[in-house]
Amino acid sequence: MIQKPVGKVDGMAACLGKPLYVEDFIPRNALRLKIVQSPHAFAYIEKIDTARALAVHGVVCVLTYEDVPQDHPITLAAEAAPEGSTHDRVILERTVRFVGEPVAVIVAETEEAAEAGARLVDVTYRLRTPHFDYETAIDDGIPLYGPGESFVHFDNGHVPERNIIARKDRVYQDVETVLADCDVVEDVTVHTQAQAHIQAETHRTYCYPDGRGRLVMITSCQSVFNTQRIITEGLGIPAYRLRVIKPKVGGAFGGKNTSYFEGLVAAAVLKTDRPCALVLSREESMTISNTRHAARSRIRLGASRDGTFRALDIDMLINGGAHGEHSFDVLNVGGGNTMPIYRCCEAERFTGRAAYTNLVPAGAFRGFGAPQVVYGLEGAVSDLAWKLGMDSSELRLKNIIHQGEKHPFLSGGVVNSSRLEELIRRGRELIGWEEEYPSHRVDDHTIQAVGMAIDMHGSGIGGLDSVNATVSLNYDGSFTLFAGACDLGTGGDTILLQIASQTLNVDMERVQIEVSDTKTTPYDKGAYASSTTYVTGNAVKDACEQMLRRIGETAQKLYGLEEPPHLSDGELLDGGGNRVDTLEEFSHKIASFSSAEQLTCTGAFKCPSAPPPYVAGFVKLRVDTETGKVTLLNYVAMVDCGTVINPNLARVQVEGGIAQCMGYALYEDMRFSKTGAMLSNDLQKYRIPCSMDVPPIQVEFLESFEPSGPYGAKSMGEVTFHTAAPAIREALLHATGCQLNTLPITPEKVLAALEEQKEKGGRLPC
Amino acid sequence: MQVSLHVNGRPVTWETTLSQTLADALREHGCTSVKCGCEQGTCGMCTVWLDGKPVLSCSLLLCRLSGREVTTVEGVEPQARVLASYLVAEGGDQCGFCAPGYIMTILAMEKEVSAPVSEETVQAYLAGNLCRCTGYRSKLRAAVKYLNRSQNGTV
Repeated sequence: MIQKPVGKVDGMAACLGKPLYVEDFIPRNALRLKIVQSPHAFAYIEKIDTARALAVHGVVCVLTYEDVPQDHPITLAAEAAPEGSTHDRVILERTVRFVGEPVAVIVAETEEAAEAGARLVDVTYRLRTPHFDYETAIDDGIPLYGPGESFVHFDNGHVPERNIIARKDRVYQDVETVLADCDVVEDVTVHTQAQAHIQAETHRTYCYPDGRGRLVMITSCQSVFNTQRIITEGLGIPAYRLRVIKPKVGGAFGGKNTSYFEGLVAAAVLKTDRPCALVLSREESMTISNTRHAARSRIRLGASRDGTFRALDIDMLINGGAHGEHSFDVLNVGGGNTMPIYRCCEAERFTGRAAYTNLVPAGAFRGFGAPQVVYGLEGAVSDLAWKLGMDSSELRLKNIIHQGEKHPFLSGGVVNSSRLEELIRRGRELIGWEEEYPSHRVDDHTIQAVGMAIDMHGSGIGGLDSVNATVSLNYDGSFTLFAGACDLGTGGDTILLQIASQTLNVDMERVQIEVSDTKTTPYDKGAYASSTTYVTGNAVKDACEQMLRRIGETAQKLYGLEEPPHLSDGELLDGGGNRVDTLEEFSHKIASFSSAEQLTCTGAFKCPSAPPPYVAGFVKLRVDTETGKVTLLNYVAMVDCGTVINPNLARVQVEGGIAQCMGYALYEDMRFSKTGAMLSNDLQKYRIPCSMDVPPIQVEFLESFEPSGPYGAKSMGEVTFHTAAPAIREALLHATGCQLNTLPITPEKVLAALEEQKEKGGRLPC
Repeated sequence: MQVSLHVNGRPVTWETTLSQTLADALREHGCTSVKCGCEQGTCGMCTVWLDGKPVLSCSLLLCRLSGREVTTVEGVEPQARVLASYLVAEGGDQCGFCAPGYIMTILAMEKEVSAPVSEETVQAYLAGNLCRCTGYRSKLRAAVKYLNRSQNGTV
């Protein structure tokens, strides 16, 4: 069943609008929640007067900081424990640190009453001086957190009095010495902006008391177990008192890997002992949750005159916003999932710091630190090739890492599967590199050009991720697969079913899947770090292999055979290929009075390393030198994600990742007022690509075989994102000779760059 | 206040308020296909038909729709199922949240255009149906195959 384009198991039901998502499960009698948001970027709450709100007909209660534990800082990052994220918040804060931060929650019989109540909460703030510029935030004397207000499980470089959320350094040899000895050093600094996730479904959570002192929560999240652990920790109740279920999720992209809202809803249920629901508007979802980390990345790439890379130094500063969720691991990925795409230089260094500012927090977003660095790293490679007069694809071919090669910053240390070189060669053919490179003039104000970029990512988190999966044989000869993994719309459930049915050697219809429920499914760290296929897939395969052995042993005993029979197409066959019994009859027999044997096997996977998938992206575009407008003509994405379990789902992942990055490259931008309020706070003010904006995307897979992956598979969720922005930058370099170092590349920025080039006496390359 | 209209072919009289949107009312009455993605008529996820034409139900007040005919995916399920099978076969449903709005747009388009339909035509029709997962290309492939299915002999 693998390598087949089967449709998603829940696809038809979703298309027909059947009740699958959180909001579809909220009963009419549920209380509705409304969050009162802070109008100030940095303030201490002196007093909250809820009397007027409580007087509104239908308002049941108002939650404030007084209703949740304040003495124990947690992180809302839904990462596996012990989290690398800095613990710096509680479920409801007494100090607010960004415009929009929750101050109170109205709990009411109706949405209208909740909204009316929210307008009548009287808060007395003591204002503090905020700061918004992450490039000057460190050591500016305005610490966001005082003593005792933050906590870390292990030294992640957190220094609250200096506004440093976290720090991550990697060093291999003496980079300054080698750089000083290089023939040429490319030194480029890029600024990449915050980006909004804009999942189709905003954040939403429903929770009810089960009558036995426990809470049942149905929430649109990326990790049921981490959400359960974090929220119960924040509320000071035992984890077993909260059951977390993830139904179908309407997109996440990392934005639901921080449990912003679950704690508020659980607190409301604890206080009222009634079902409670919170459905966020688009504006609330954008202003309360999180963004991609804005970043400044300085890349110094030293090379010899023939283009051989000799030294690579990357300094990354990211804007964590008001809270520390995910910042440490974003820095981890910023170096670890970018630099090892090239053969290790004589010396390499990565220096990463995350700064606090009084802006909406940054968090996890597809790519997770890599897109920011790849924009600069691939930019430096483009610039170096341009400077040396070399074809940029040749420069990359000369320096990329190959299968079998080692890199000190790579998870696991060595590349065990890669067809990166072929990705580049084949992509060049498909885009028409030879004919188009680097650019040519179309008319007096239009230039056409090609550009490319390469990237890698990880598959799970090496040395940290662990999951289990359980498979049971039912009395009717069907199997049930229990997995705590979280399909976010990508098709993870379908992929796991394909792996299970492949391993069990039965039709997919014979395997049912139960997922994402802390009560009924085994532990899974959840859907982040591109994990489901590689990490959970391995655990599923292990469970199913155990099941095959158990069936064989049990049948051997039952039928008195010399050798255990094997399972093929729903039948048990002996060594000679003769039918011993059908699986269905066998299952009935072992479930009966004589045997009473339930076969259940739990598999496991501990991620030893995070094998990198690769993408080579190529863009053909036109730029109008009079207006600065960039028009994308087409894109070629060459992908090595190991064995492709489902070619259709994989292809759509690639197309979707590239489209998201096109928006990031050209126009998506989160803008804030001088007082820290988000200006681009809805879909009219924050533009994402529409159908007219995305050019044809040609996707081709060249499969390597990853020995540690299930059937040779690696990940592909995040790696698909990073190439579009640096490929567009390179094409614009080829078209205009200008380096566009600040995203998004708006027409204004292109025109300004052309103007500056002209003033310096430069000219267009064609 | 009450308003009487037709929903999915059936006459209904619904209790409403001056501020209730059509989207909220439809969901309240069990049409879970109607999804709200932006509340301001930008994303297209709440697309339904009003007298047979696609409209954004988050931006219409129910109280103004007396006597009108509203259609959701629930009301055209047989046709929706056919189009959905093309979308699922392409893997273009992804998270699925925008799929019902997409389906109502393409089924409306089918009534307005005749085969063969080009990818560019579909691309323009879909400009008001945002999708964050797929990058649209699979949705275009599915729609083109669906709209041209009679020509391709795949009906």
